[in-house]
Amino acid sequence: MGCASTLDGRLTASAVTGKPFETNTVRANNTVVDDKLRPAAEMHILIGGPYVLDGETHRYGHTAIRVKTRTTDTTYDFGRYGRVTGDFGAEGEGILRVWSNFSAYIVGEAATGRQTVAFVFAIFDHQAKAVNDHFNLLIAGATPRPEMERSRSGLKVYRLPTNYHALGYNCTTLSLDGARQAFPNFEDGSAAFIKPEEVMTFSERMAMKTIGGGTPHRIFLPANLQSFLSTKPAIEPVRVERYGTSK
Amino acid sequence: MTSDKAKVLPLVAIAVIGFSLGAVATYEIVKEPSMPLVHKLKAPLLFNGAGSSEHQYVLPAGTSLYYDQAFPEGFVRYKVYFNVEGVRLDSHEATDKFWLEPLTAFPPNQEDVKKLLGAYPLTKNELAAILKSGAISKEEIRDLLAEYSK
Repeated sequence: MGCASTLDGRLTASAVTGKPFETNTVRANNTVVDDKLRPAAEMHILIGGPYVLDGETHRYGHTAIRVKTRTTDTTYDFGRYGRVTGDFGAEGEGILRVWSNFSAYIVGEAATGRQTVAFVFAIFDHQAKAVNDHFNLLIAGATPRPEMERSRSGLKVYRLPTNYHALGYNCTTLSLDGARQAFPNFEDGSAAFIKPEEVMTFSERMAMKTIGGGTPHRIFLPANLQSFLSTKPAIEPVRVERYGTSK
Repeated sequence: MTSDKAKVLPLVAIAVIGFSLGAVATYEIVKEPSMPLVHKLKAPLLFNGAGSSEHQYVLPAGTSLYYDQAFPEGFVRYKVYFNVEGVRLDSHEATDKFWLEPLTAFPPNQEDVKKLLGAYPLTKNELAAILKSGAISKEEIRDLLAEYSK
């Protein structure tokens, strides 16, 4: 005994007519049907590509996740924005930057001369809420760092209890943790795309295999994630957007 | 004969690896140090850090930034050198794992420029450099000028 919508947007009972189960046709107040049948929110996986500085190419890339609903637009951006180790800087405080102003985030990324590719997934409001709730839980256990926000509106900064590591808990894995709240199978099949040789130099790979403890089993390189989402994703994006031009 | 080969081959392999590692290490030590890459700021930047949240801290135009490392997150780390004089500063060995604590510098936006004009001795040239830097849109520049010409 489900409901169906007529072409003019009214709701009507689909099968039952006559007493005692007589139903009345009523006018739907906007979003009831939309909410159930059509995703109204979006999740963007943002992958910043390589960039060239002073003749040197930096190939590692950067991943962030953006959640857009009808009333909010939040970008979760995880990285070594705080204190770091003094050697190669592979490890540092796990700093989560939460942008409510997407253009401020993307302008900063584009300033490097890199292109950011956004894989856009249509999601329902409850999925968007699940992703935001996941990050709010992380934030609840984090330390606010207001001194890192100074004068930049639309930005909140937190230090997470877990440190950032380029080969472990990093921008890509944190973003994927968020994506899995909307689609539990989001990463299915991604392990086949773990190809450090496409991104890391020989010496970086040697360091990973020795002091780094070996190649991670979970996809961790932004460029590898981009190949996965472009080639054989578990969930198909509804569209792909590009910001900035790679130089 | 086969057992002799079996004994010698690992020794040769170890010698080759040892020689290669030694050669790489020697190269790293003796290679000529290259000159640092430097950028001289053309327009002032704001930077954050400990201190009052209402205050703005400015890195003036002309400051030399010495390239250190580019990060995939989308920022580049530079060194700035200070000759400190007139005060004795005692140092201690850094013992924290994350001992390197950079500040974050960024171009001022329209709101920042309003604050700077009100509270910071910004020269005409510095203001011109900020407006030229592209961090503020033409429309925002028009608004700023309109506000300050009242």
